[in-house]
Amino acid sequence: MYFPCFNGILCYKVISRRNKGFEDLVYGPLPYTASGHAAGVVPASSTTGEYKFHWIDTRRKDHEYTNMFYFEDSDTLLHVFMTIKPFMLRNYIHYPETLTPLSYVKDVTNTPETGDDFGLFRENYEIVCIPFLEWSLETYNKTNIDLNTFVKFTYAEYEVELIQDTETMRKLWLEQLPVKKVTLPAYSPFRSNAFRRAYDIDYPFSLETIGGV
Amino acid sequence: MPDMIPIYGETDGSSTTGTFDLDSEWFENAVSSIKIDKGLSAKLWIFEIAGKAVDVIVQYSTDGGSSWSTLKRISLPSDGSIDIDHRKPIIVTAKNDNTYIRLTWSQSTAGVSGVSGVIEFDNAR
Repeated sequence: MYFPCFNGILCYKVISRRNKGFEDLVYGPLPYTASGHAAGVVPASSTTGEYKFHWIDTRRKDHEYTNMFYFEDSDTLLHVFMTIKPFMLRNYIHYPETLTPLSYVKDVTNTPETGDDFGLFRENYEIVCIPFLEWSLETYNKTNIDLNTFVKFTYAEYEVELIQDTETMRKLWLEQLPVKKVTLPAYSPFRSNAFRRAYDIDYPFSLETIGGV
Repeated sequence: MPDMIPIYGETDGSSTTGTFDLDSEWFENAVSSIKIDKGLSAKLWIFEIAGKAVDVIVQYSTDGGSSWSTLKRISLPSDGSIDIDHRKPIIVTAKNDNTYIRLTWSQSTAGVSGVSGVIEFDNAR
């Protein structure tokens, strides 16, 4: 996984896939209710504000209840393909949560709260969730229609092992070994104790230090 | 994947001209026009018209609905039904924040007619 803001990577070896055969998770409407509207409806010309997908099941731990993609197992990754319908909606990702997305040569920001033309995605998004790190979404409806919504996830829950060997990381980055690369939407540098808590490192491994550039 | 949004509406049965209120399972409430988000194209593929004789007129606006231009007129010349399945869709691309489409009707004698259709929303190309 490549983090543009750190010019760094995290490499994993997949040990197993825990949810094989059970990859589809139908979520239902967006976890958002506007005043005077049914659950999941995004009213015309309005934003949802930041939200996270949460479990309906309140028996889960607090953190996992408010964010279903939050977990604390350092041997786990969630590889998630989101589908947010309908296509007309504008979606913005905050990675990590609360951080304004920023993704063009480091100094162009977007403003999801006004439905910015820049930095949006429609319907489909791929993201890999790492332990202790929370991200959020914001959805803007630029149409004149109060839109019902529907969300589905196709995901893989991997049991993984973090690779810390410099030579192996370099070979993976240079694709001298079989590898699947995913770039995370981390364009703006951020401070987080997620890496420390999960892997006992401060930041992803810099490409400069592993000789990948 | 772009969305195929089914829409449907009905004349009011008492006016010889008017604008359809369009509804869909994706809409919480029916609307008299549909705003196309900037950067998207709306492709109108299929129309089915049934009921009393009616002309269904497809219109678009690029100024927020102040003025409308006609793209197509589909006639149901006598009571009954008609299916129009376009080999090529009617395409309206939104290049600004004020692009709308709507369906209006015109009848020589007022009566109840229904229209349904499918609009595909896709990235403008």
